[in-house]
Amino acid sequence: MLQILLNGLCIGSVYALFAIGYALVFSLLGVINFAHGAVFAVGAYLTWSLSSGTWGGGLWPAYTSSFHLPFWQAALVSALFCALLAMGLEKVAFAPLRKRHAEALQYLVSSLGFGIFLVNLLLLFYGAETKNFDLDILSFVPPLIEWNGLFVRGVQLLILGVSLISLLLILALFRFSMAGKGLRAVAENPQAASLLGIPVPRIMSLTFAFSGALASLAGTLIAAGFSIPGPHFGMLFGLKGLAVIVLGGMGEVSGAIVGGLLLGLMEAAVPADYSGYKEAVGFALLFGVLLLRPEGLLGRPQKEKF
Amino acid sequence: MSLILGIDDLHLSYGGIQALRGIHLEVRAGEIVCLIGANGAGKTSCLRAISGLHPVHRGSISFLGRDCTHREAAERVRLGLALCPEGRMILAQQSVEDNLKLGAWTRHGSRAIEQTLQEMFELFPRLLERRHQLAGTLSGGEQQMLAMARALMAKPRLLMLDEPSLGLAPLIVQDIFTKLAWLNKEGMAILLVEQNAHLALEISHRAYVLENGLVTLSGSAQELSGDPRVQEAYLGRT
Repeated sequence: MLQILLNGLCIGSVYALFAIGYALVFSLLGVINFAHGAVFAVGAYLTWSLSSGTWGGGLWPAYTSSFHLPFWQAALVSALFCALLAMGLEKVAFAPLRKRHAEALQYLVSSLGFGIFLVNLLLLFYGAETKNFDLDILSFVPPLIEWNGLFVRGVQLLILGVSLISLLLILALFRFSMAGKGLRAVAENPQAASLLGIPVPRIMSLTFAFSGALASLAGTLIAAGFSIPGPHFGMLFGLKGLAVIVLGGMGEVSGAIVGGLLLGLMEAAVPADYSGYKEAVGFALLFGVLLLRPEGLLGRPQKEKF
Repeated sequence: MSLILGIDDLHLSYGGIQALRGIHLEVRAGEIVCLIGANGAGKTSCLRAISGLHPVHRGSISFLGRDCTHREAAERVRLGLALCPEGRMILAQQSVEDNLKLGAWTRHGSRAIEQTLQEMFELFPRLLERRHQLAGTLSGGEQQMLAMARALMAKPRLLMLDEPSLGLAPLIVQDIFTKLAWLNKEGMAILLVEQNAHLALEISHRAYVLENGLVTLSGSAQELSGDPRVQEAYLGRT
């Protein structure tokens, strides 16, 4: 039981971290950023390359450089890069549409297009093979800890620690800081916000940067805990993140956290023999919640945004 | 007196419909200026253009000697232009205090902001009572006070108000207009859009009458109150 709880919290907290990015963008624009999963994949690959010094492997010949960073620094650089990448994404796939008062479907197409572009860029550069983090990169955590019959991989503790601390920081940031209140003001009424002197375009840009960094962090943690099974894993993970915010309530940071943890716990509760049904359990849960509470667990009934 | 706001030949259209067709308008330091006119005459469009919520087709807007025709709305607030918009646009899901603090977004120095906050609580004691309540739970009159106080939190040089009396009980309207007159006495320049021409002309120094996107009459509030055309159309006297 305790084992399930631990495994579930571990993966669930990463889901939450990832899904917050969706929730933030949704709260501002009322649309889903379908390139979020691709940014997640870019983050995972970049951390892997920076920490192992291995680049390429697809059409680009594999190249090992003697330059590499410790895991922490690699994760940080990758998060910064993905923040910039997501800002670029906002400029290319969102800002022009916002200026033209586009519909949700048009955002879907443009962000999905950007995502597919990124994934194929990764495919071109890295190829489709699975990439694993070498054990010595993660040697700062013990491989396996046994405690009262409970088996915990060191990496799991790393994932759990990093993501729980990040989640708490994020919650505090949005509840109590002026920046968080400004962002909520833009989410509630962009015109009112701009009349208060809040620079709406800059808030949009920073929100994308923030969710890009979170996606990269989530990608790094998943890749370190398991592996990178190929560039498309970002898009698959992206779908799961979508389930998380629908579950928790669209556009709510706290909803993304609750939804993420819940999905993680449900998946962990699936016995190992039936692990092929993991995804099915998660989405069955989603159907159940949607039937009973269409606005999600913590969501407010949605009003039309456009 | 020095010019605060100068509007020259302002044109604006909403999806092909011309809402403003060449407006000239001025607000000088220490003045209350009101725009009166029927529904759809272009009063709200005019304020939206000045505050930067709606792009201008032709013409220019200058504020404190700076050209503001194409600046971002947020930038204009920084320069000292505040709009208390139609429908109030309070942030229903945040507390009264947070609404007010967000009004000071463009300012620096937490002590100065805290002081303005206290001034607002003195001016509107009801807001102090409701300080920690969600703004969406306030009554209409309280929301209007919140919207005004929030605009004032930016320490504007020009306060623009769009229909502050809309939907409020006469007693509360009276209270709000008394406060506007007091603010003006303290030196605040005010541009007021108001359907209730009686009230508006009473506290204003000058007024403009808008009809179909054009200024058809302008002058001192006293002159306009005495003008038979204004009396007939807006003051309900024959």
